[in-house]
Amino acid sequence: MIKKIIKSLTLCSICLAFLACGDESKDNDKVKIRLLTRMAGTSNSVKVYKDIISQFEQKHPDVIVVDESQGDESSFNNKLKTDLASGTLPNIFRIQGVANLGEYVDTNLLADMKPILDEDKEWGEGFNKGALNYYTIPGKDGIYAIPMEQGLMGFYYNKDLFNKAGIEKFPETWDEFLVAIDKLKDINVIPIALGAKSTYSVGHLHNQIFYRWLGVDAAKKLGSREIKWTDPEVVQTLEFIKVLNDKDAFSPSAPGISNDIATTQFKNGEAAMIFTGPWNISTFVDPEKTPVYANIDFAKFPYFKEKAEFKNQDMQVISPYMISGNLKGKEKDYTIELLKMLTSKDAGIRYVNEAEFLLPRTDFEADRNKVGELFLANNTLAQTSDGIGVDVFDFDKIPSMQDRTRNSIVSVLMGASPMEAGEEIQEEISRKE
Amino acid sequence: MKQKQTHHVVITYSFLIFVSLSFIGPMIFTVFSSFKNNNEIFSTPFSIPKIFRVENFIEAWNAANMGTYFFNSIVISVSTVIILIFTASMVSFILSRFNFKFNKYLSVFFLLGMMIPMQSVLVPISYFVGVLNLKNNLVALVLVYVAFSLPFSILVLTGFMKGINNSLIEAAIIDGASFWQVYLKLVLPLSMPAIATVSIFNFLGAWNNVVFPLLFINDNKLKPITLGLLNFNGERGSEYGLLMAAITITVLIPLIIYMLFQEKIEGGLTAGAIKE
Repeated sequence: MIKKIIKSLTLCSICLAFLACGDESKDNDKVKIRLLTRMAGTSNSVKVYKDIISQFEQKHPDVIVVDESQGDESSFNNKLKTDLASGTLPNIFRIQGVANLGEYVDTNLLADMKPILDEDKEWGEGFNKGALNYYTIPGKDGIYAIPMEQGLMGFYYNKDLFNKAGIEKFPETWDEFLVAIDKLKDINVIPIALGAKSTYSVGHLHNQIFYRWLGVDAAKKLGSREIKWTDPEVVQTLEFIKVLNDKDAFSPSAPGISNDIATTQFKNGEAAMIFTGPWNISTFVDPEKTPVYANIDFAKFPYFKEKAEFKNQDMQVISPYMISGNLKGKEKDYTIELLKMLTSKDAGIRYVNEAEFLLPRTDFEADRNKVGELFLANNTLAQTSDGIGVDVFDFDKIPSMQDRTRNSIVSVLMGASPMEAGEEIQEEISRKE
Repeated sequence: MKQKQTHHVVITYSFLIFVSLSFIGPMIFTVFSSFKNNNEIFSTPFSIPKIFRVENFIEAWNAANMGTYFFNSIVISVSTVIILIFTASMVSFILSRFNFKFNKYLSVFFLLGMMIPMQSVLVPISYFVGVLNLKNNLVALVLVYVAFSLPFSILVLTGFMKGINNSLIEAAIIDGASFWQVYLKLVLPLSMPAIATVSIFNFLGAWNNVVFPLLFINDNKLKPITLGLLNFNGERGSEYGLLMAAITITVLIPLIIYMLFQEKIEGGLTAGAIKE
């Protein structure tokens, strides 16, 4: 027995040593480019992304691209957090939110993209200016990320169910919206599919209500502490969530189910609408994945009559690629080249035609024969935004605000008053500052 | 009296059936889901699949690169277990059989290791791994697992070794055995039941760990199976059918190992009883 164990140990050690060495000697001469993005999984957009990386590797045999991207949020955060703390930041990475970018610029973790954008006019001038401006930092010159995804958040709704309920067109104002919810309840469907167990889904809904009621600049004021979560106008945005909940706009099981289940309720025709982003379009138009695919249309979130000035203050998804500020020489040149390939006009055309994934560039148009009406509807309405915000907490320097705000908003669905939810968030701010 | 006994049997069996169902339930859910697509999983989560999508397993095997990752997971887990058997049992032998000045302090020192949550040391460990250029090094990964599993293994083995009859050891020493021989030929074989138990925990711990390989391994040739499973998680949606198929395949190996070790435990226990 002992002899067997010793033999196994020796064998394993040899195996390990062999594996651990691998082709390191061959690879040592090559330039290594590490990527840590959220482009992982089995979606079509990820396939395009991986294909572009393969093309880059074929073009440059002296480069190894190590893609450490993680779709799973906690895995991504763990990796990024430890990389930031241990000073082993990847060449291309992604940081969510803009509030902390100033610190990273000061510690030279982020490269300024402005000189690179200015140097290559054909590439640099093709980006949507609003999306680029999102990555400017007050008090600092420069642009600190390249936007790689943009899309309008809104309601995907089932036209057939709306017609059955006697609603001719998607409501434009909040009051009309509340009437529509009553009519949808009368035909026994869930008005809004919501899976609050995935707290981001409630967070997204509140973001859009917030921007419609107070505008995008108010989120920046929350971040700079000019206004508070307990101010009556901010509490009112939480009150609107309560209004929807009290009206039974969501399924009674909404607090306990995940967003995947809620999305399935909508895809099976059990729910009349869902508030989500353009990333679901490819499944919404797939007959195998969405039985009611032929009835789905898209609309912007209704506006408040008394706040008509914020009618087009929209929540949009904007995701970035950032470059490490420590790169030099050949490694820097190759990294920039790969970044350009991933965000070029050609990449944009491939992303939109093959995956209905929108790169925020203005120098190409989607092929109408290849993309669906739903994508075009989303894209057309996205052009009407006169103010763009992502998540409200994106402007807050306290990292825990992502979880705090989302959990407190969910608590409104569980019976907490909007003021209690606002106080809970404000307490977190007081404690952390 | 007989009625009382019948009641007792009914209650016992009801409880056992309830516990069994609660353990088997998630496994059946995983196996059923492995044949479904997302829509079917979420609309009828507990039903038998309408169509058995066997292609989920083929796609999962390819997408998760399971052939290579399986091999890596086995190498990592088996190496961790073997190193732990020797290191933990040696320490336990000393702590359980020798009276020296710092014995108690040393025991407490090892026990303190159990109090350190893994998450709290991720940054310093990854800093050292980065500085020492140990990324993509399976030996480093195995040593990290060994370090984290050592306190628990020492705790269990020390307790077990303290229970070995002292007269056996004394007899061996009188017969001229050295301490090394006592350890290798007497204490280690007698401790097999405890070693088997500890090995199951350590094997599963190494097999299931995601965080350390996620931070230390980025070479596709060296990744373990847990990282392969992450391939099915996208930023805004996951392919649960494929993920469940991959999990079903992944669970098979530890299940077999567990069953094998279960037998060892029973065998070991009987052997110990006869020697006593």
